Amino acid sequence: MLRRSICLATAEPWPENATLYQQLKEEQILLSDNAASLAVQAFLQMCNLPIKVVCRSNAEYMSPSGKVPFIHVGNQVVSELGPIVQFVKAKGHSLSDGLDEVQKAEMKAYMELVNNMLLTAELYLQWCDEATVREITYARYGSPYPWPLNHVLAYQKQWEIKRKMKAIGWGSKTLDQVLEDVDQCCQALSQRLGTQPYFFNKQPTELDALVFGHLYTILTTTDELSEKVKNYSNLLAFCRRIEQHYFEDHARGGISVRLS
Amino acid sequence: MGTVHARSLEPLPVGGPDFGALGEEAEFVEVEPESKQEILENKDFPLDRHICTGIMWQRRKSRERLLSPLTDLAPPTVQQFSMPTHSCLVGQAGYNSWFFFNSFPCLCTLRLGHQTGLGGSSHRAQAERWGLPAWTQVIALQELLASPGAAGRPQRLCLCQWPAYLGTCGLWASPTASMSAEPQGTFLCLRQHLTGATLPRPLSQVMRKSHEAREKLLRLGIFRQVDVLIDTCQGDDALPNGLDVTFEVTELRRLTGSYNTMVGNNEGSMVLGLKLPNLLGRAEKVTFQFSYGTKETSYGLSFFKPQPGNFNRNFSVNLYKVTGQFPWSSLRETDRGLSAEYSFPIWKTSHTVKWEGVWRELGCLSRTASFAVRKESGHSLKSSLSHAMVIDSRNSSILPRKGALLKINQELAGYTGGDVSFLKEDFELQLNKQLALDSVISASLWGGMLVPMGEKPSSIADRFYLGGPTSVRGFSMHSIGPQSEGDYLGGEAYWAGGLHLYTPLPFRPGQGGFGELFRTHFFLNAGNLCNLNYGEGPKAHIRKLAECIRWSYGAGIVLRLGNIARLELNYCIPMGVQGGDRICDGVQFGAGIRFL
Repeated sequence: MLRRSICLATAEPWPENATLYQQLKEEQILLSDNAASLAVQAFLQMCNLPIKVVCRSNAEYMSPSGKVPFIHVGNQVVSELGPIVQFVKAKGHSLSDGLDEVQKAEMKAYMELVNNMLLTAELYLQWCDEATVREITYARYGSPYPWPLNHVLAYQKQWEIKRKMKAIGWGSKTLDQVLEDVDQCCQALSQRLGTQPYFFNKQPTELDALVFGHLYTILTTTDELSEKVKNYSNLLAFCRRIEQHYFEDHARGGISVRLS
Repeated sequence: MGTVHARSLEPLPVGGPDFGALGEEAEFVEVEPESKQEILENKDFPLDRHICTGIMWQRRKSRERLLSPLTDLAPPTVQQFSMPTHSCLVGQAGYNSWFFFNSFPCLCTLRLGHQTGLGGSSHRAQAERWGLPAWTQVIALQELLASPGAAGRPQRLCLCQWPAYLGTCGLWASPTASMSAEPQGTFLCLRQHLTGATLPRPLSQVMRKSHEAREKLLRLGIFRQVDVLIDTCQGDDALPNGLDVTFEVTELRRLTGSYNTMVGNNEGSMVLGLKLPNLLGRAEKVTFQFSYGTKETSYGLSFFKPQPGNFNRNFSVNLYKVTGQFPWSSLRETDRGLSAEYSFPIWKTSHTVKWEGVWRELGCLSRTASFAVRKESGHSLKSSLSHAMVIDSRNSSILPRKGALLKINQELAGYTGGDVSFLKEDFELQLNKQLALDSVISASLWGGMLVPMGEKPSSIADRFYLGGPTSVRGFSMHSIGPQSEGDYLGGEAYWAGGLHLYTPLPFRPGQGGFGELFRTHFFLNAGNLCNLNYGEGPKAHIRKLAECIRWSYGAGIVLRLGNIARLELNYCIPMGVQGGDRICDGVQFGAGIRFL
């Protein structure tokens, strides 16, 4: 199905009215979704493709795969960073063309690392840490819905995430163990980045977009996780660099919170 | 008509209370008091214009013939039981009431006649011994004897009358001392007004009233069978010129279940149903249905309670989950809801007031759904109050020959919670008239309007749809009106009208039998569905509804399925087709309950 939609996509150029859908920024969107959305926005900025961000409270249910963000380009709807990268490549824009096979494999490996570690840690913090769930997640997730639907939907989502956590073995982890894992992940990323501006030297790739999305969101919205990230100064500089280059230059106002 | 074994073979009496001489020997002996029974019938109470009823639970020697399932049981034995120390009120009803003591097949007798005077002293003493309040007047004391099949359930029933000005009767059941205070079994009481006259009524009226009463009993849905026997009064206590009308009823089982498997629409499912037709003794009905399928699961639980004595006033509570797939809109909808409704008649109209709370989940049926439908996906909560009024004077709901139907329905959502807010009105009108040569001409008109309140636009699940074999024929199902990339979004206002001529099949094959179920029909349908701009006035709305009218004409055959549904096979020619509508010209098949 994806291949067929990509074949259709190659026919048309990137339209002006391409739109990205995510949940409501101020009241509803959660950490993991915000990170994913920011990653896609960064990627599209890096490809120099115009995109408009529209916030809808039912974005999660509108998405064909159930995950945000998703983009509406022409009459195609594509969700999540991986398929979006493929879709954009079919239209002739790619950031990783200059990489050789080994580097491409390495890039995929690091993207898997970010998805398995950082994303899962974010989900854990949102849904399995009781304090965060009570204070932040329940209120935000159910905010667009009236009583009693807000409680029912939040509870249903939490049950689903907890089941997934148990399936991958994170169900029994404590918060400290999770923070340890985040630390290790950041260490790996920091080592790979070194002193280079981007992960693969001069040019940003989708890996940079993904890492930026997650790290930026962690730094600006959490306390415990951001402490772990702040230990690595090259990651902080990396985030600031991308923010300045791709988000301030275009004066899009896509990011509401600035790094300190 | 019910089984009325009228004893008289003479023509119906011209008038007056003369029932003539019924010379035949009784084939069924209805009232046969046995030595151990006490039937204290007080003949001298002021019946005047009313009729008194009582329950008699009898052992009769001809019982086996009437209640055949009991023929293989041992001959009945009369059980002795001690006088109870207490009695308790089983039920209470208006003056003209019918009493049934359930769990066993039971007999109810109706006596009519002209009585005067008050109860005798012997009854009073009896009542005191039984612990009844001093101010009750004993009308009939009757001991119920247990059937051989039901161990340990002897009951004594006493029918009493409160002082006349209170106008109520009470039914007291005194259990034996060994049982708990609660009377066993269930108790049903209906109010049945058989208006009496000071004189006994002619037989024809008795038969008609008995038939009406039988229909009312069957409508309760708790009896498997109701038979009526009318006879002259017999026995020692027979009233002069009196009639015995006996209703023999057999109840349905207390719990019935059903299990079906269904295959259809690329889905197989298992359907389990449970029904309790008479939960607490007053025809309360509880039904539960659960369907477990390969794709979807749905269930429904409903509790229905009619007002005792007045079936048209009833109350019901439903809890349900249903899923629906709508390929014309590429939409999938799952509703989980709770509703409570109350129906009552006012003069000739029937009203229903309902509150409903539904959690709706909408989704796309396929990846190729249009973006307009994709935007409607998600969850919403609708909490609405609605009122419906129905006036129906047709002789049948499927292929009526005469009469008219008017249904007006309004729904207000959003003011009792939820996040969907609108006012919805719709009406349905149908007129039928019989013409020469057994044909019927029928005209119908439907219309509706949905006004969203607040800034949110209306949801696709609330809007109206038009088109299909059950509304404007000649168009595909719900395929008229606003659409986006082939998915029909529905509209906020619509109207549809139809003119039909039903005739019997040409050359009338199968006349009098199977052929009577078929009709040929010639039709003309028209309608329009659009979104109105509510800022403009009514003239602009009417103009918008009157432009771009879709209409169609044709002929076909209609088959009537019982009294509930009909099948149609039509040849249709659609006209006035607008861009975006999907038509089905040529042969179109339709099955359903409600047709334009």
